[in-house]
Amino acid sequence: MKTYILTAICIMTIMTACTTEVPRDARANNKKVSIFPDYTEVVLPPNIAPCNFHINDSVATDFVTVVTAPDGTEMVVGGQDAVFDEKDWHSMLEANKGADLDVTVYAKTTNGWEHYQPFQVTIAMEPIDEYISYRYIEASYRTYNELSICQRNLTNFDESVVYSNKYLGGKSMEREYQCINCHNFQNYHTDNFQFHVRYANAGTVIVRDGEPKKFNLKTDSTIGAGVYTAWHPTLPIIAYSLSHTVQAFLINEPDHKIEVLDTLSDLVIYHVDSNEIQIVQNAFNSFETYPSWSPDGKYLYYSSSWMDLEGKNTHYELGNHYDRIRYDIIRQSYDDATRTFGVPDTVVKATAFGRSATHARISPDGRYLMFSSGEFGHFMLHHFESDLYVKDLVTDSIRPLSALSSNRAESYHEWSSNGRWILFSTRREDGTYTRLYIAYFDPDGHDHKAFALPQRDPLYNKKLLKAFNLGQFMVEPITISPQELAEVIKKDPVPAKLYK
Amino acid sequence: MKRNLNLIITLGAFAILTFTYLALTAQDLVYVVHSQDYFVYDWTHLARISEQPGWVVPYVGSFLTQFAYHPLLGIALLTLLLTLLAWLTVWAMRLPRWMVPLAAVPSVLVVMFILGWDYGLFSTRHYGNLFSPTVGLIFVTLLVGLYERMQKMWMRFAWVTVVVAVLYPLIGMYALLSAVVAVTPGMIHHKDQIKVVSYALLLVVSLPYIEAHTFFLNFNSRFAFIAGLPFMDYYVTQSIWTPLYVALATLLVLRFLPLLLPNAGGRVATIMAAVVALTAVVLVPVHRNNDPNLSTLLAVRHAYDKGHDERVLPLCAAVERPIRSIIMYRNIELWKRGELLDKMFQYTWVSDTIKSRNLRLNTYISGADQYNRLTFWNFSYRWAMERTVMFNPSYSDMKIMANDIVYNRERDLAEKYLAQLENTLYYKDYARGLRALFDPDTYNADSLVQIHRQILLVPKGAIDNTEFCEHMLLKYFTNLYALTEERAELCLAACMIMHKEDEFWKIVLAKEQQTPGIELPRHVQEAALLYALKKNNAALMTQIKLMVGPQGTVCQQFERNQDLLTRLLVQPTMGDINTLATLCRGTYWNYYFNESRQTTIFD
Repeated sequence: MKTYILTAICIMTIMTACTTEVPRDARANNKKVSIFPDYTEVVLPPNIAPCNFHINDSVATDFVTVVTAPDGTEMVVGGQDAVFDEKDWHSMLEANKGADLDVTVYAKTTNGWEHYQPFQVTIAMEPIDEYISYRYIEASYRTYNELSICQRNLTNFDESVVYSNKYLGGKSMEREYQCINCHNFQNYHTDNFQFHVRYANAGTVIVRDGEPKKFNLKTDSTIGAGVYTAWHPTLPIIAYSLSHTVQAFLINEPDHKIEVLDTLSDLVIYHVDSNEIQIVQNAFNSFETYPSWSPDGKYLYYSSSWMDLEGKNTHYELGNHYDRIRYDIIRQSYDDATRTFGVPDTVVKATAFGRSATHARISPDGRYLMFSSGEFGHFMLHHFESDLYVKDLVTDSIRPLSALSSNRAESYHEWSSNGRWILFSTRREDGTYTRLYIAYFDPDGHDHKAFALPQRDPLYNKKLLKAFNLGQFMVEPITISPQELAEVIKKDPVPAKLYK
Repeated sequence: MKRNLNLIITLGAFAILTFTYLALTAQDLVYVVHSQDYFVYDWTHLARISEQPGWVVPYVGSFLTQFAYHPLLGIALLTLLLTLLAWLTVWAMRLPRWMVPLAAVPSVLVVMFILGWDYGLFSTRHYGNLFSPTVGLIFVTLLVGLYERMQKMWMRFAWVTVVVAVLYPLIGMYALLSAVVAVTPGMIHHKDQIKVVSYALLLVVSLPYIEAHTFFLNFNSRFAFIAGLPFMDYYVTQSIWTPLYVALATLLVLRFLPLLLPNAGGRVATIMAAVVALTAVVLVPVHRNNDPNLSTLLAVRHAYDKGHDERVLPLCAAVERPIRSIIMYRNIELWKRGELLDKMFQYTWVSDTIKSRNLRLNTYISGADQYNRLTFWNFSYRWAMERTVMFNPSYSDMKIMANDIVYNRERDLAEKYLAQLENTLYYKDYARGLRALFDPDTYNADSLVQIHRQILLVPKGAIDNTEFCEHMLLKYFTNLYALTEERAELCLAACMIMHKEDEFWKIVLAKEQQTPGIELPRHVQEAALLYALKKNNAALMTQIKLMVGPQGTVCQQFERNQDLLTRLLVQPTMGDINTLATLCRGTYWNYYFNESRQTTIFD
């Protein structure tokens, strides 16, 4: 229904835009234009959906936006919301790969038409993966209600529900809705993917070669079912962190209202075909989380923290010293023939410089390790200071991705399948509602200014009272229907066995 | 002519009685139901509501509910629509003269439903509940009336198809009910109608599930046949909705009655009118929720929102056995007046639990508002957000969130919530008022900011995971991080409530050192004497008596009852407790030995 409404709005907008004329005699006001989302001076994929924007100007009464290509062709739209025709947009981007487009915004004031300083957008040569998936979730504390995992075609505005907890929910107040989370795909493809269902009809839904099944990954020897997830790029193996998670609420700090802590946290891998859980790390004093595989599948990366808790009250110690919990990034080699892991090797020793590093993600070419880093803790989206960094695994150098970062939280990043685009979560817009942003990472290893996931309504992010969560690139859409997933979720889970 | 006269009299009497009754008894209820609703003039609200079949009904209901910001306007609108419903019932069912009074029955049942709400109104997940039943029933009567006036068979088939297939996604179960109510009586006298009846029933049984399953992916299709009703609230508050379900069934009964009993004597109309009126007069007051805590809570919310804070204390004080929310509001008002330590124990502390099948935790109902009034902006925001997540956005929670975030000086986030409020009909001015706080001078001069700076003095990174609002506050104020004047007052109150003697003495002694000789508040004197008595130390007692003033009324009352208090400290008996309650009502001693034991958990 929402799609129909949005389509109607779009058609109306385009119809009104058809008559727009460019005020050629406008005078320059020599001001920089403020637009939302900020698409000024960004690098865009040649196949991205129209980057519609709203012009932040409460004085002018009319607006015209002109996008000019190097060969002089123009795209003109009128109104305070610059909403581009999809066909015209794609034609212009496709014809101008590797070139800069000039964007000029004209504003009609009481003194007549004037124009802001033009800004440029650069069209990259490399396309972005056509699809992403993410979860819609309220910017919640402890409670949750309506969750849905959605997929979005990045070349247009098509969004569809992969699975929504309302589909089976609403049966009782206490367990009204399931929690659904941590969707993850094998190597950007959708015939093998998984997500968790918690509380009502709990289990982990694993789609293997397009066939969904539900499993209970908790065994008698492990502390819980899977949490954070990483499919092996080629093998039917999924790495999971297992954790007992609590929240702490800060009494009087506006920019840091919640801290998320693990009181227990281990690491396992799950062998999908044999339905076996294999323990990787489960020491009492160490906390492992956020697993991730290297693109060749030879290494398992994860974040790890250590605290001396022997004989102590864990909750008290962690709760009172949560600002001392810091994570390093570790990797262990994996040999599938023997199902054995090598010795843990610290790749990013963040604790050495008083920081915490999480969410290791290796670029598809294997050269860069991207991670998020904050002052402490592991749930970086609650940390204003959290930024993205890369470690060049060839030169061993670490540097912040300053161009794409903001002064608010960045985390939950992913590489596109060609390694040229970074999709990440950020709270830069208002500090609370997580939004998905995309940034170009050029062949020389430099990051560029990030831009918001384009939306048909440019003010979508401002109006939406939900957050985006866990953006993932996909090279193809998920074809299995919500109805099929619901049928599987209704069934009892298959219990996993412990691999010994 | 007589039929029209009957109709005019019935509808007129119904409208006057309904408006008068609701205006006299339900303004607070109507206002609070409005404050828990939400209507924003942008597509996001439409998108949120339109995720389920039957969305037009709550959407229209939500649109109309916004006018209940002015309760009398809301009541007038409701009365108008209920009267229209009664008229449409006569028109649609072609009710004979003797049955005209029965046309008011669905409307009366809707009134019963509205007045029957309990605390569930703070936790409804559906919008437009004040108006949506009436809107839905109006749809039904309109459609049935239209069907009744179609003579050709093909038109009736077309009607069924359009209503079930096309209108179901828009008005949900009301479309299905329309089809059932419209076609089924045809079986009685017109055997040729069996085809259209079968066709309609076939569509009613088969289409909703398919349509819900296909077009509404954020909707559980097991609710397909009740879409449009507040189905998500049904499991926990079903008794509240009973009158509404009876109203729906009544339409079917009214459809059949004229066919089964086409003629009745002239006096039957009069008798029928009397029966309906009498039933309404008896049943409506009996069915309505008469919980004094609920009605006080509604009045408190209404008073606060309209800026009549001075009405809150008398309202709260009048409740014989208040719930914790009422006690909290009472204390907040005493604190605002600077009378907390002098009067807080003069009111009853014997508290009641929330009488509801639904929401039973005070924190969920009042936590966000109360934290906000005490300037705990982070925690207030948390609970407004928790409520928004669980029960969908409401004017009430959006106002609190905007307020908290503006005071927290989170400009970008504040803009988001202020934009929401500015897109409503009646909360633009509220948003503008908050915008004024963006000015640093205005902000720094704001009285709440001054209070916040005195009482929210915590070490950097201080956390608290206590879930319940009152419990958290008591814990917080018995923790003596700092003792600014404002904070010391609240700390003393908390220490007395929680019987924290060591902390109490620390504050009292600090106060005595800062301002020697200053007269201590009444309840502090009472607590000091009691705690000194507990120490069983004559020298200390003398010192405390000197501190509180040996000639003062508190000291003299203490001396009169010292034996009783000593016995209570050693071995309390029910007899002594009852004596204390009589002799020392309104003192800390009565709270300490008696009322604190009858207090429910600080939820």
